This record gives sequence, structure tokens and C-alpha cells, in this order.
Amino acid sequence: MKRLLDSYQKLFSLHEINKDLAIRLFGAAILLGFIVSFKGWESSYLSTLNAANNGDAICWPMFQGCYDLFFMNRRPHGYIQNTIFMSMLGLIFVAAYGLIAKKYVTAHFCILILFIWKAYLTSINYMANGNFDYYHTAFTFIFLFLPHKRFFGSLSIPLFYFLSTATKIHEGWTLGTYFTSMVTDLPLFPDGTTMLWTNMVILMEMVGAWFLFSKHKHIQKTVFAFFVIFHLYSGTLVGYHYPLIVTPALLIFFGPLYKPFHSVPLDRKAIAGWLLMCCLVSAQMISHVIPGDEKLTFEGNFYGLYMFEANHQCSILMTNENGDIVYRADTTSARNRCDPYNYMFRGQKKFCQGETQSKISFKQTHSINGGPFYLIVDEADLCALEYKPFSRNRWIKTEDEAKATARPRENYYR
Amino acid sequence: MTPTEFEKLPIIGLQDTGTSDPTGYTDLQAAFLPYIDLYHTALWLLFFGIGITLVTRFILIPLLKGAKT
Repeated sequence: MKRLLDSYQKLFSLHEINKDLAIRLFGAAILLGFIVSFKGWESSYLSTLNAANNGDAICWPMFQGCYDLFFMNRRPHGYIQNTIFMSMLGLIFVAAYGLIAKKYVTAHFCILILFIWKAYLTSINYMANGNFDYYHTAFTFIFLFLPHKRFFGSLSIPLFYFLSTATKIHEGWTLGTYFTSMVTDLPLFPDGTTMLWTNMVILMEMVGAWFLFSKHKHIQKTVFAFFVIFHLYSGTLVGYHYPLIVTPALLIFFGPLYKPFHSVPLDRKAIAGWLLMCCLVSAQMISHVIPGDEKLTFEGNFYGLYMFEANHQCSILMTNENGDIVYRADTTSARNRCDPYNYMFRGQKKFCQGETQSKISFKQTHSINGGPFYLIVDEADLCALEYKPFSRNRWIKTEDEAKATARPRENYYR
Repeated sequence: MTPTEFEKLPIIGLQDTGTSDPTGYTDLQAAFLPYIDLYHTALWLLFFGIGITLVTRFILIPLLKGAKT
């Protein structure tokens, strides 16, 4: 048994947790992240067998046959999902105890199970694609599997800031139209100053974030303070979830416990960490190699960071051969993304099963950042549509191909 | 689409946006609009420039130095 424990500790570099308070706190922050995520998922309908049977669950584009993996029901139709989630809460408590009582194998093993459970839930639910979960999954992976945990945990934070700017090089941020096309504009700041703040965020995330590693105390602390305030401010729009996952890691690695790195790990043990960083960069670039504005078409949009990529308004209409409306949705909430894949997937599950099918037409208009409503989908046969996860889907029109139909009114962030 | 073409489009207010103002550029945004593609190109150059500089300075050069010794 001792040999097994030694091998486990060696395999997952648990000595790093033992010798570094920052890593132990990082583990605690990860547990907080699990609580925040699981709180919303514990009673989620979208991971249940009923959601799959009713065609409401949405699989990821690269895994469209995910319904085979559904097995749970939630109250009042069953208790399996709720029971598993309560077991996970128990594991969170045990892991927290393990971190405090220096039983690191126990803590690590519990977090490993939590990670596997979260990976399963994410893989069967396209709606579990939140950026906060993306951060949290990367943090957990680093904590669990990588050697040089402190270095790669620290690096992931400015790297995420940096990568997030790839989605902000767009009028929505450079001209600030994301916010000026809302009734309430940017919270707390005077109207007319929006462009100043949005461009400052872009420059701080792209350039300033790297100075979190500065050896100059004043520069490092100033940048650190900026990002802490930035996260607290962002909560006025996004609520607690995102700040609760990102800010603790920022506080742990770049707050009072910050120690400048004298060199970058380049030994064999660091290969896995660098591979993860390469994966994060590659995922961020997928949407940019697919032609068209991904904020309008959503092709490749959810593979990297996409937070605040655009302010959305859209209208979806599905009619049968008699012209009867079988599905209609209008949405004006800035953050309610109008991904055509969602409507295609759910529509096909509801209307294209069985032998007697009526032809369903599918139209979608979509406006981003207060720009024109573009008729991005105008298809006569919903059931004939296919979705390619990593390349252009001709049935989704880009801003150059789609007809502009109308001009929207200012909306709200809900 | 030019701002003039945009302003000619019929205005639609979905759901509860019916009473709010139509969207459009502010004077400041309109003033920057002609240069926005140039600005975006500059930002992309900065993005890739920073990425390449960091990789070269902190990974490639130390690796090459390590290989020499």
C-alpha cells in the first residue's frame, strides 16, 4: 500500500502541494469553483434522461450522439442526479479536510473524482460551455496532473487574459458598441467614456497582464490591483460566478504570496504543461480560422474564451409546410447567445424523428452589438441540415452573405 | 454596411425593447469608424508580436542556450 501511495504522489507531483502554501490554497479555490458550478448543475434539467428523451438536451457539435451517455433523472422524476451531486459535495468536504490536515493523497484523489464528474457533465451538455467553467477546468487540470503546478497555475492567468483579447478585437470592444447599444451602457461609468474603458481593458489584458510576473514590486502590485478591481467590477454585470472562480487564483498567485520566477521551467517534466498551454492557444484560434464573424455565426465560438464577445438580439422562426409556426423565439438579452446550432439541434430532435416528417423551414435573424439584423439562416428543410464542428457551414450565412433586414433598438443585459 | 445604409433600415424593437432608442454609432464612434480596420490590424500585430516575443525570449532562447551547453 505504501508503495502504491508513493507512486501516486510521484505520478501527480504531490510533493509540490506539500511544500507550497499557494498550491494548497489553489486547491481550496478549485473546491470553491466546484461548489459554484455544481450549485447550478445539481438540479439542472439538461443533464437528465428526460431532457434527452424530450430532445431538449444539446450535445457538443463534435459529439452529436451524446444522448447515449445520459442515465440520470432529477427530482421529482428520480433522485440519481441529486444523489450523485450530494456525494460530490461530500467529496468536496473530504478534499477540504485533506488539504487542511495535510492528507494530500486524499485531497487529490477526491478532486480527481470531482474533475472526472465535471468532465462527464461538460461532455454531455453543450450549454455547460461557460467561460468560468473553462477557466476552472484548466485550473483543476493543472492542479491535478501537471508538475510545476505553481508556475503553470500562475501562467494560466495572464495567458487567459491575453487569449481573451483575441475575441475583443472587434467593434464591440474597440468602439464599445457592445455597451453603447444597451439602454444602460457601461455600468457606473459616464456615457461617452465607454471606448476609453473598453480599450484600456484590451491593452491591460493583452500587454499589462504579463507584468503580473514583474520583479518590480510597484508595477506588479499596480497590475494586480487593476485586475482585482476589474473582476469585482465585472461582477456588476456577470454576478458572482465568474469572479469567484478567477479572482481567488489571481489573489493566490499574484497577491501577498507572489514570488517572482527566476526562470521558466523547460525540463522534461514541463512538457505536459507547455502542451496544455499550446492546446489553450490552439482552441482560441479555431474560430478565427473559420471564415465569417464567429460572433454572428458562432462557428468555433465556444472552443476558447468568448466572454462578452458580442451583445446579441435575435429572432428564430420555424414553420411547417402549411405555414403554421411550430417554433418561435425572440431574445433581446445581450448575453443570450443565439447559436444557430442550438436551434438546429433541438429542432431536429423535436421535428425530425420518426418516419412521417413534414418539411420544417428555419429562419434566424441575428444582430450583434446593435448592428443590423442579418438573416443568417433561411433554410427550407431543417431536417436536411448538418453541422460541421470545425469548418464553415454553408447554411449559416456570414455578414457578407446574409441580407440585412432591420435595425434593432437598444437592449438590456440580463 | 455603411452607417448611411444602416440608418435606412426599418427599425424593429423585439420584446421589451420597443420603447428604447434605435441603435447607432455615437459621434465619437463614427469619427473612429473609418480607421477601425487599421486599428484592428495593429491590435492583431501587437497580439502576435507579444506572443512571438514571449515564446522567443523565455522558451526558445533558453532552450537553444541549453542545447549549446
